[in-house]
Amino acid sequence: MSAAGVEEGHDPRELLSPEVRLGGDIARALAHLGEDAPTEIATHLRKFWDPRMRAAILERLRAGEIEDPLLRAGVEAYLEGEVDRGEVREPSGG
Amino acid sequence: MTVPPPTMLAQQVAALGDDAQRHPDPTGTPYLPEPDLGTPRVEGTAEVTVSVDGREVVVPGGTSVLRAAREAGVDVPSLCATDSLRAFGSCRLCLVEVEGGKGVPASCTTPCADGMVVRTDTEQVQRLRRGVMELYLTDHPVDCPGCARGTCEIQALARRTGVAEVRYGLPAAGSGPASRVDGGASRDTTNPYFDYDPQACIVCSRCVRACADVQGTFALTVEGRGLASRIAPGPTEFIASECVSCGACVQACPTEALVEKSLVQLGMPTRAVETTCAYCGVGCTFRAEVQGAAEETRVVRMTPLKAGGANEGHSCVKGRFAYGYAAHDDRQLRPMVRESIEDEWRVVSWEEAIGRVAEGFRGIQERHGVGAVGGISSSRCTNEEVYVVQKMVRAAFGNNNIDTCARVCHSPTGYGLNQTFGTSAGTQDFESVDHTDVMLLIGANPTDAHPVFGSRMKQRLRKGAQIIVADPRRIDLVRSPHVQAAHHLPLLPGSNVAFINAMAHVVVTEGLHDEEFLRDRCEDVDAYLEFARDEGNSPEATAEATGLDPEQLRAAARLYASAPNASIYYGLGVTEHSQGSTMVMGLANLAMLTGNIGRRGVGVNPLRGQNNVQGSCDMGSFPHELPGYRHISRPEVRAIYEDLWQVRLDPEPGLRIPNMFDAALGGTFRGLFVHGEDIAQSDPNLQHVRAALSAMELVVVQDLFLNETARYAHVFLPGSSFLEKDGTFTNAERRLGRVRPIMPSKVGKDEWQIVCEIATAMGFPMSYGSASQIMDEIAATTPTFAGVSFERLDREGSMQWPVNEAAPSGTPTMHVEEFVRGRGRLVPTVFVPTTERTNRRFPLILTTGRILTQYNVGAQTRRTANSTWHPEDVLEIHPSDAELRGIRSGDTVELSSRVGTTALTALVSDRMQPGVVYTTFHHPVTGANVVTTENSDWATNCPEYKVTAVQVAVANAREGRHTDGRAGRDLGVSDAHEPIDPAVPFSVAGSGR
Ligand code: SF4
Ligand code: SF4
Ligand code: FES
Repeated sequence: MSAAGVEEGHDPRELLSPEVRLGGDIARALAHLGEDAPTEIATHLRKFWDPRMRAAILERLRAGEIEDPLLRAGVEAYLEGEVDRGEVREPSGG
Repeated sequence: MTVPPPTMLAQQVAALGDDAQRHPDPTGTPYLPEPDLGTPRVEGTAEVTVSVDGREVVVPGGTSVLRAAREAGVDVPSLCATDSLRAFGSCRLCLVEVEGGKGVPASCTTPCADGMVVRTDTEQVQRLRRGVMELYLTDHPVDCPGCARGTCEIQALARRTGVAEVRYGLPAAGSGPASRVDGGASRDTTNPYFDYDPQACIVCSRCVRACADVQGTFALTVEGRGLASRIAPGPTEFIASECVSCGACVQACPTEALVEKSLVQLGMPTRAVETTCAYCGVGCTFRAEVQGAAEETRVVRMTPLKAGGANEGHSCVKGRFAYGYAAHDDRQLRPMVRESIEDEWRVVSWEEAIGRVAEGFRGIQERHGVGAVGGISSSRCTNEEVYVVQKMVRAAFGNNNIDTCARVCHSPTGYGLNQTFGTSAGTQDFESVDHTDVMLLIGANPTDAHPVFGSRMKQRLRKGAQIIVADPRRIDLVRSPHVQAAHHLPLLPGSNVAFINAMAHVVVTEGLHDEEFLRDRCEDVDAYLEFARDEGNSPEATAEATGLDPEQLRAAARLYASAPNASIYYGLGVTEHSQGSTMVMGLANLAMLTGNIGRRGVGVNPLRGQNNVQGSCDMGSFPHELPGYRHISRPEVRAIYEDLWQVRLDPEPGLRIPNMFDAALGGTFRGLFVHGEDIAQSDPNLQHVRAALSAMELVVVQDLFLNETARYAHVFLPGSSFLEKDGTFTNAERRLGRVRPIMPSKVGKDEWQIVCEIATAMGFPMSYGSASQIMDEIAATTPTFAGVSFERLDREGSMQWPVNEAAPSGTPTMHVEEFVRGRGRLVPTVFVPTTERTNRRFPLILTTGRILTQYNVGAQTRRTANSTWHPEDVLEIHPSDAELRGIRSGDTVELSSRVGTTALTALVSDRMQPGVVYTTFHHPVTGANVVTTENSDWATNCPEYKVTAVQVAVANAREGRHTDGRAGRDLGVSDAHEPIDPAVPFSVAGSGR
């Protein structure tokens, strides 16, 4: 076991909740958007995530469990409702 | 002896102009062989008029006289010519006289010229033909069973040419040309599906040419000379040869020298039904040639249809021969229930089973909320079935917890192509490849996974097109007979995005981009160009990630960018990554950057895995989209369905498959309807999947077999095979092809009907009179399908969506004038490496793929003689990695990742590069997905099957071969029946079990 409580060869992200793990993936993928990134993350959550997943990640936010600052900003943007709904007018895919 | 009447050809040709013959009604038409016009159709030349025996006929210039004659309804005898192959001119039976010409030329090699006057039946022609025919007869067994059956053309041609007797003496019964000369070469019966009888061979070489020209395998040769010559699959028997059992040789043979075992065993078919293959996304059209009617129907053979839009008369070993599973004893034909998954199954009536499902789901919803249940639709089922499953979930379950197995394969294609082009589909038809100059093939292995299209690619490559193969493994298209890739880029698994960015970097920095196309047709161009130019994306800077030689990558980029027509073909090696969606956008970017969109020969083409992946996505199987890729949050789209169905739809997206598993473990998701998908074998991180399934209160499985998922099910609903279905499949080129039942469902109900009954029992009445009514509803509610109906498909043949007012006959090429979304959008695709990395404990990367003879989880192919070729999954490992671990080919090795361990047989192979191992996932005993992880594509949750850090070691024993990565528990398997009885495919009886 390493200091973080992760077995050798294991991924520390295994210990994260599924929502925070996937949220982290989204944040990393959209990080290059700079100041637009939080809004884009929030839009993505609204467009593709089931409400219970969004509720779960909000709970993690409130519990202070989201370490990734960009993901945190994205979830906060979602919470504030500043999300571009116009995008859903396009076919959405995937 | 029954000899088919000499007028058969005339009947066949007459049938050509008859729609009812070409697109028969669902019960089929009386059996007739497909018409053979002798030589291939000629395209793109000016028309000429010729007169054949006084009949005028107009054909494209360059058409053979033989074909023109047959098109005019004049029956010219022939042996070595067939319309799937270029004329060869060896048998001399097709002689004709041409007015003003010299001698009697072979009509198959004589091109028509305007005003030509041809005589096919003069005395001279007849005399010469008789002479030729006599020679063939002296070499042909008098007791030829094919002649008796009517499949061998020799006796019929003898009659047709008026040969009453043979001057040179007939061979004795049981003898043939080869026997007289080489002492009796014996039948080769080693292939499980067809036999070769040298006695009946007339050495016309149609099979040799079919193997070379159509299939591109070059397995057959003519051996020996003169009367001693015969065809041979190399210096060995068929089973041990290079032969891939595509059936092209059998199809081409004019005698019964090459013949299906099933035809020999069952005799001639009496009826033929046109239908679509239920295996891969190529979607080949077949004729099911059958005997008997209703429940007593038996398949004699499946033959590829020449008019098939996707296959044009070709096939592969799966569609052509591996249909026997449909009559396998393992098929479950009665509904079953049980209280807990520990209990034995109890056979019940349909009413009881449907009642149990409806009450169970409603009960869960009452206790745990409307969103506590959901469904998974199947990419193996018809569009109509998928549509009703998503309708049941949205309308009867009242939520959007509907997903499809495309989640785990091509969902990133959906996302990526939508973001960039505006619709979730490939841009071209298959025919487009005939016009391409350079193909970029990445993350796909078409000769195994999409064989008929793989053959088409090879045909084009032999005609001079070039191919760039980007794949960690040296697949067949890198080098095979008469094919040599211009570049093989063996990139490291997980580095796709770095690779595509480097390609774009070279294109942009070397000024190879198409500025006009970018200006006129695209948006967000400047930002993208700046991104691509960034030094961090150069081949040199990305070389460490990709493992590629920068100079070779530069050369490949130049080749792609400077081709007049360059095309991209890709598969799951692109999508099944943590950056799958990003990579799809990267491919779209590259095509737009170079102006390779919107005409024949170019485009971005996902090669879809399963037969109806495209269709299941189109039909609204994603939890956030209604049919036609329209977001569930759009009120005006919901209104269409709310008005029609008289129900309120939830405007929020539902759970995707991996989210369902997480929610099941979290306790908020407790009931699942699984339609024709084996999630407990096909999905990643099986321990997690199985734990999630075990946590649910009600799992309903509808399938042909008691698959792995059924181990966790409480209700089993038997399904119908494709031979029993009425509907449509949509292939990788958006082509809707009809699936027609050759017999009624063996389980007494159509699958869509069962789904409707569940919905009705849940209080949402759903009913249709037929599958065609379901398509009518799809057409009425989905703009891209507005012009589709069974009636039109039956009358006009397959069609590619969109089929609507703007494109009444469908759309072979998309985004011609403008993109579906208006302007094509260039999206910067920053490379974010996967978090799955090698380390001291797991120093190798595992990637997965498929093999020709098996299909996906193998539920179908493992129950056919296809297992002769691939009885188990093997682990391919590079010699240096093997040596380091003391592993030899044939050793049992333990494959472990951080999530699980499994055992399989090693194959030391330099097709892999050092550090990368490879396996397939067709057999549950191997359980490749025991080791794959929970990582997934950021945008779509598509699992990262293609990158898993693993260790490989020699194993001691195979007992308890699947274990959990942490607890070491044995996970076991249930669907691991023994390799099948090879006789199964040949007794495809419709009489049930
Ligand atoms: S096996 Fe059939 S197709 Fe091949 S050369 Fe002999 S007769 Fe012709
Ligand atoms: S290529 Fe695909 S669709 Fe065609 S016969 Fe083979 S498995 Fe069936
Ligand atoms: S068919 Fe023309 S030469 Fe054989």
